[in-house]
Amino acid sequence: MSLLHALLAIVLRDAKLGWVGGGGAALPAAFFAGASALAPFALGPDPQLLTKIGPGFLWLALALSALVSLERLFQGDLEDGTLDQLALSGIPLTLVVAAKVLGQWLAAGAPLVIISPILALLLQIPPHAIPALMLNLALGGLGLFFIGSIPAALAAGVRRGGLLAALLALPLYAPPVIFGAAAASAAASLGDFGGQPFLLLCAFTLAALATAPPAAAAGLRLHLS
Amino acid sequence: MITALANPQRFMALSRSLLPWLAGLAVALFAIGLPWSLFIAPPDYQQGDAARIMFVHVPAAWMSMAVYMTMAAAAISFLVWGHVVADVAVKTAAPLGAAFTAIALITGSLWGQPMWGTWWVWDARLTSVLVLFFLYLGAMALRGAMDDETKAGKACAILVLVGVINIPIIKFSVDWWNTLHQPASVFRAGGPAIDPSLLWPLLVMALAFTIAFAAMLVVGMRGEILRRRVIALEMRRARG
Repeated sequence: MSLLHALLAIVLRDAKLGWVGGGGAALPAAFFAGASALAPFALGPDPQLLTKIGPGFLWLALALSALVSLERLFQGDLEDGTLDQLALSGIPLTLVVAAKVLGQWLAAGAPLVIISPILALLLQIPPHAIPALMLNLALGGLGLFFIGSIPAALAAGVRRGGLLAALLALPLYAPPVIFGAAAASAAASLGDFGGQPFLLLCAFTLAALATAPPAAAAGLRLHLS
Repeated sequence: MITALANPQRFMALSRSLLPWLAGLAVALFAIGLPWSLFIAPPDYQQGDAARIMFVHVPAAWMSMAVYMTMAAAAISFLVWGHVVADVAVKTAAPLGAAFTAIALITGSLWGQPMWGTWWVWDARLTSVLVLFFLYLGAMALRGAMDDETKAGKACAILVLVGVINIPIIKFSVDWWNTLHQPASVFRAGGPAIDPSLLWPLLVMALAFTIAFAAMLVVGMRGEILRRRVIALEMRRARG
């Protein structure tokens, strides 16, 4: 029971640290909105074109948002010694990592899901697809944050770690972006939850939840010793 | 044998006597394989002489995978048993693998231009090889960014192993995403679909690439071990 309490405290701490200061939850949401709003400027305002590429572009914006937040995942806690304290606390580092990623997702991933209906309307995605799209972005974002924790851990404490983490994350992000964008497109055109690609996205997210924390913990241990 | 080779001293002694044989064998195989594949083997009945780029393209593509598997095996050996020579192998193999992958991508592009009418298509195989190229670049960049040799080696080994788990997922996702490239025609159930007159030079070239990789790996590893020795000596002298 005390372990669960401790993990919940870590989740809430990371979420709160993300929410307070520096624009809080509005900032990741604004980044997501800004990246999405660039699409019509770059590709033209043609509604039919936007309907076709809108879901894919939202996924691109989601992946970029996740990449941008990777740097902050462990860097701050590594520099000020919080991670050393957490490692000494007796809680398995794998669970600490999972709790931190969940907190990070609450602070920087969930806001994107909340504002996604507005962006969906701006990108001419039919309103009936919005519930499916929100579920898609929520689960997909969780997968992106978890799988991204591996490069974030490896690149923590490295000069220009953010750029390095983005390079390392690119191969890991290819499968979820493929499945997620396909599922979002299917949801927008067919009106269901995205069918097979959505199931594949769920499978990827589950696999990321299971495999990323131990790998990220192994990476973090290098910087702790 | 792995444990015996884990001793850098023994590795240096063994590799010194092995290297001339490896290098000689690689040169001999290329001396047979290159003229055979570029001049003697019959031109393809559809693609003519342009298909000869296959004899470079296909072995390079095989090596891009084989080198990654070599790296992964060395990464496990370093992480589990802490063999330093294995770390040296991971470090040396990464740029070699990236080079083979780049050769596969470039020759594929040169081959694709006359055959498919385009330098690049986002087809499944091309895309997964491109992603593999980024895995190599990531491993090299991660090592380059860290000062501590042991830490960098361990971080790199973890990344390589994460990549190994991900390669099948990437492969599946990209296959599922799009398929235009021809399916595998050598390693498949029911025997090769390629004519023996083309298959044999291809296999010789594949062996030549493999032995050349082994020779370059050994040269690179020897260089890296000597470099680390020099650094250790300089540190000792600096301490006085």
